Parts: sequence; C-alpha cells; structure tokens
Amino acid sequence: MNPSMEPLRGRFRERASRDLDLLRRHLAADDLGAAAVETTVHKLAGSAALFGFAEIGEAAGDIDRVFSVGRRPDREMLETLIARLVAAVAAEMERGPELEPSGRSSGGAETILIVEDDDLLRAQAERTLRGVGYQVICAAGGDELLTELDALPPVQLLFTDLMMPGAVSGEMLAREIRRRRPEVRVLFTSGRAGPGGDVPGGHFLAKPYRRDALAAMVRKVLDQPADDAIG
Amino acid sequence: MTPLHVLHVDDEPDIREVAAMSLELDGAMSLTSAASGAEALDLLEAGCRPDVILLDVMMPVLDGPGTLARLRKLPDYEATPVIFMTARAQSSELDRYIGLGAIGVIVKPFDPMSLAASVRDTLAGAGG
Repeated sequence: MNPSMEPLRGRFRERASRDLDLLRRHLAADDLGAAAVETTVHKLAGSAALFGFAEIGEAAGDIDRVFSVGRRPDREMLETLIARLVAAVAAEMERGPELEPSGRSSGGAETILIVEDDDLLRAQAERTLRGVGYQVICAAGGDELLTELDALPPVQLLFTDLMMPGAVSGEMLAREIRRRRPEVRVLFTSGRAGPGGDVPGGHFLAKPYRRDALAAMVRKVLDQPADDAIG
Repeated sequence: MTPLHVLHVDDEPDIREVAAMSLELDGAMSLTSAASGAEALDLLEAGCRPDVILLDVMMPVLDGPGTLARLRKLPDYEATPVIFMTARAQSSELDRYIGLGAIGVIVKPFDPMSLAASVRDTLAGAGG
C-alpha cells in the first residue's frame, strides 16, 4: 500500500463506522428504502475498494445495483444484502486499523517468505507485513517452491501454512529450507492443530489471526536465535 | 506540450485527493477540483476553462446530470467534454449518461494507477 494512502484509509474507516451506525438504524427501523440508505450504499460502492476495502465495496456494489434498477427493491432481498454489508463493515471495524509503517516495534526490514494456498489470506498477510516494512516473497504452495529453492533469494523467515494441497506440507518445506539454510526462522500457521511433536521449537500462529498478532509474532520469531526457531 | 487541464467534481474529499494524486502523477495533466456541482459552475463562470470535466453522478443538491445541463447553458462550455464518474456501470445507466451528453463514463472505484490513461482514452475515443 502506498504510504500516502494510509491517512485516507484511516478516514475511510471513520466514515464507514458512521455509515455502519446509519445502516443499523435503518435496518432496525425497517426503513431500507430511505434515500439516506441509497446514498450511503452508493458512496461506499464507489470508494471502498479505492482505499483497499474490497469486501465492503463488493457488498455495497451488490445493493447499489439493486437500487439502480429503479423500482422498489424486494424487501427481503434488500434486508439480506444490507445485513451482509453491515457484517462486512463491522468485521473491518473489528479487525482494527492496518499497522502504520511507523509501528516499527512490530515491524522490520527483513525478507519474509509467505507460503499459503488461500489467496485471500496470503494477500492479507503480504499486505500486513509489507505495511510494517518487511520485504515479502509469496508462494501458493510448497511443491513448486521446493524444486526452485536454490533460486530463492535470501529470506530471514518462512511463514507457512501447515496444510496445503500438493505433496509438500508446511513442515516438509520448513525442514528442507532449514536443511539448506539453517539461519531461516520458521513460523507455522494453521486453522487446525499446530506442528507435530517432531518439529520441536517451531513457532505457531493459530488461524484466524489478527494482523497485529501476525506482525508481532513475526518480529518475535525474528528476534530469537535461529537455532530456537525449529528443531 | 500544454498539460491537459482537468476539472474534477466530486463531493467526497478523499476521492478528490486520490484523483488528484493519480492525475498529477501523470505529469501532463493539470487539475482543478470542485466539491460540488455549484462550485464547479462558479469556477467555470470565473473562467476556469478545463479541457475536460470529470463529473461525479451522485452528489447532493446538484447532481452530475444537473450540473451538466447547467454548464451546457454557459457561454464557452457548450462543447467541453464531460466524463461522468459513477459506481453504476450497468449498460442501461451508461447509455443514459451518454444520452445526457457525456463523452464517456469512468466506473468507480477507479484504478488510481490508470485514471489518467482512462481520461485520455475516453477523450481519444470521442475524437477529442
């Protein structure tokens, strides 16, 4: 994210928070046909993705299309769509602001290798870590990466999902990278269990994780001796 | 080469700011911003003389189509190219905007990296 966009993102969050209140009030009052709702939704549809809030933009765009048809929208459908938009905005508010690049206490300049098969999670992790200053290399799985390890630029930390499609799991990948590059720290993540007992010392961040928790954990693992990072 | 003078009209200050960053990065565009249709009309009456006007459709008080109708009545602005900006990109909406006299539509949210190119392409497509 362009650093000059950060204040704009902050202001968008403040505005979205006010929009959330308005939409909730109209939902509660069963008054979704009000002009204020249409305007609010339309403005969100036209701007949310511009500031990096694609999910909100998509939810608002769906409603805006309904409004644009011109005739009175189906009440039940509108209620469902607005509830989805409210949930998207509320989730963003819940997540809290992106970490500012100045938040160096949990940032750094090292290079992080992210291996995650979920496109959305991978993009979010990349954005979070880049946002606090790290260089980031991404891969969607371990199979291809393992065949090209020699061409991989120097990295200081591997942040990998444990369970991924393909033959190479996160643990296998971590072992192979550590065998060739013992200095690399390793941080595993998974929505299920942590790494097995045969990978002593492997750090683990459970999914779902907050962005600030990811940044803090990456910094913590980087600050430890590599020998402790994984067995 | 004289920079292309763009008048951008949008009631949302942050969108004006992003558009300003995008268009000024281009290096061959100069920008004037207005926060409402009324402000845009005031600027035009004061001799702003843009080469192209980017006009948000949904604005309070005087919306984009209303602003376009009024500026066409101003001397010197009968033929100034106007591009609408809107989140509503359905073909029926697009046809309506063209029917009102716009040369094109840029869909919001626009891509800040290619806004200047979109403006140029739309102008070129209209023979401008």
